[in-house]
Amino acid sequence: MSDRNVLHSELSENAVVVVPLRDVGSLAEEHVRSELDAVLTQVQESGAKNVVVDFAHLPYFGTAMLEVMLVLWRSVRTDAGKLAVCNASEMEREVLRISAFDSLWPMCGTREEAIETLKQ
Amino acid sequence: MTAILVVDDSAVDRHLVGGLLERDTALRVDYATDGADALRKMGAAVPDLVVTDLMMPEMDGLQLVSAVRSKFPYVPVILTTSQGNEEIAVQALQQGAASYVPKHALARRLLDTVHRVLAVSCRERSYLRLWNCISVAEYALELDNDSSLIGPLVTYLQEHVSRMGLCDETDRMRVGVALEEALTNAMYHGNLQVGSELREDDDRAYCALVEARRNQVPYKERRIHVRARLSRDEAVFVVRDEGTGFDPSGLPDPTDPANLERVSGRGILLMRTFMDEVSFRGMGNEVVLTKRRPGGLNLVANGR
Repeated sequence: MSDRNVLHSELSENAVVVVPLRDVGSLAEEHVRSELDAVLTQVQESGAKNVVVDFAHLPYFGTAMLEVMLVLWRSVRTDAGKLAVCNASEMEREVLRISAFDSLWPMCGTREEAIETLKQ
Repeated sequence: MTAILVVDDSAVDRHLVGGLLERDTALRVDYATDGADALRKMGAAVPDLVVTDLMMPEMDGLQLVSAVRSKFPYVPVILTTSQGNEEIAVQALQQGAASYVPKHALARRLLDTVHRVLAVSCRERSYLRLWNCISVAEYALELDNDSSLIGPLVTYLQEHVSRMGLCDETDRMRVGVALEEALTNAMYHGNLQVGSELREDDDRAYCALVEARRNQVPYKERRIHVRARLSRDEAVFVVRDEGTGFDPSGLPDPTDPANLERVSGRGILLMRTFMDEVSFRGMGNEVVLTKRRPGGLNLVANGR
């Protein structure tokens, strides 16, 4: 586990699992950007093909988090990688549904399920 | 008299705890044999405080803490724990227990702990009674373009919307998302005039431009003006920036498949979905968000 305080990340099988710990919408963008850069570096250096965003520690988010997810998704998409979401609360599922991103990223119940889904 | 409910499946322990409490003649003690029995008794007469054993059949102390938090949120619960259960006690504290006393230290610490918890709970109840007396609350704020102020302001307003009995937990989160969208729009797109299109093309360039404009005239002199008026029926938030405005009808339709990979327009979509009414005024640099109390919702009444 990383020691970052907004976007923790860890390597699990063929995916980097990103765990948002705080709502990024109300944080200084340079802080978020610096943690996002660290995640992108980990994705690149680990050779992981996919990204899982695990919302186990965040009850809700807005478009700032969607923007972070778009950056992550674009970073793996160039190598045919995918992004999946897991442990999203009802509220988070609602945000993804309203914003139509649920059609881009599979929503899974658990981290294991998400990693398994991305293998297919 | 202050009413205390003592919950323990062991008659000996129950009366040991009760006896210690009755040393204070201002305390009236009632008893329950487990969590389910306690909830039945609380349904008939709500005590001022619950002292419960952790390990019990049917419904243990941990489950009782959760049930009390949900059904009687203003009744504090103190746990009594045997040696070796410290980890579960910590879990109970995380779930909302007010304190815990190891059984071997009951004689020394129980009464002090009860007095301390009652004092805190009494202040909280008075505070809630005061909230029940507020019919209208109005707030006016002027913020500079510091994103670290958005989180505390959203939390502050969410808290007050909840206290006024205008929403449940889910709606509290919806109000939070909508306000955050309105405030970040006002700051980034309004005052700093940095468009989402740049972010879609180059997130680093977007961050660099935001940072640069925070120190450049005229952007750095612009303020966000927030007004909120909370009544028992509705919350109305007005967020105005000092930017050049925009035409909301010119935003891309986020539900159009062609725009699927863009974030633009989604913030306003979330605002419109999560609030009862959203309208733009002036040149588009003032947004009015209204949240009405759902029929039948009266959360403040729980404050006793």
